[in-house]
Amino acid sequence: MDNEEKYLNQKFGKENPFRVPDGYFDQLTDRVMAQLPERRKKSRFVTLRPWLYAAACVVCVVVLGVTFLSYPTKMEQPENVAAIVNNDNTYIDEAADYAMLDNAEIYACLADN
Amino acid sequence: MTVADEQFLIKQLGDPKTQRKAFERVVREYSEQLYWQIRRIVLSHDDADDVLQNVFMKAWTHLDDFHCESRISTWLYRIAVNESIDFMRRKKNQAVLSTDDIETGVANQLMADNFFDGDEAQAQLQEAIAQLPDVQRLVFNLRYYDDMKYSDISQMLHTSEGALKASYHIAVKKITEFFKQRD
Repeated sequence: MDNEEKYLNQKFGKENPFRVPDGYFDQLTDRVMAQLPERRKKSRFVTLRPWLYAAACVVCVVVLGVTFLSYPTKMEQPENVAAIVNNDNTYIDEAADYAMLDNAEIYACLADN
Repeated sequence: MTVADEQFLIKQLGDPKTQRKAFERVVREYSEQLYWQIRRIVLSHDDADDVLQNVFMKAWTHLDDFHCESRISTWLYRIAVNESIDFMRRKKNQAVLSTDDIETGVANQLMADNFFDGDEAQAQLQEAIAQLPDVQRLVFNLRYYDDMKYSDISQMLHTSEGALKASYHIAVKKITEFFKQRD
């Protein structure tokens, strides 16, 4: 205890200066209980609410998972494009063979135009 | 109340068939301690009685929010402290509008109160305590009058023990200065 606390203790003590009407605490419990309403029973929805939230989360995860897995991935797209490009090259090569032109002649023809 | 008693009481409070009876036991057990806690904050008997009724009403309607992490007494004290502080804030706002209480002063009001047995100096002490900020006032009352441990106050107010010790020290200093200026 420091000096300031001692000062307060000596000057005022620790006695409770307040008082209550006679018999106040004897009747208090009955008065409090008389004012309390009946507690409403929890509805079934409130009881099941955490489980419903959990079920909704699981459904969301499943739907997102299925959607994600069934959607074509980005890796597949370049392969398809490459296949198309390869097909085009094949066609050009076949056309060049048929016309009996080599690459140098094609470039020269394009340069003239 | 022993730990076993409290566990049994908590179990009864959780069962709709027994909770009203169990709550009656809670009221009987804690109403007097809570009353004095509230009275030291709100000062008048009528106000303390109103706040106490609200505390039990709130505890009853929010019984489902009581989880067993804290003791029943700590939970009730916490509600009582919050209700008392809210009440004083509302009263302060009303006083700003009416200016009656400001002119009269806490000490004069207490001296005119039939349920205040203290002398002039005691009334002045209550005025000095009433001027403290909320947390300092609460800590001072709990330490000075109730000798409550800092660890228990810490649980009740959700504040660290170090901060509470500092608050108490500042509160004691302010009250001492209040009187030294008048002597």
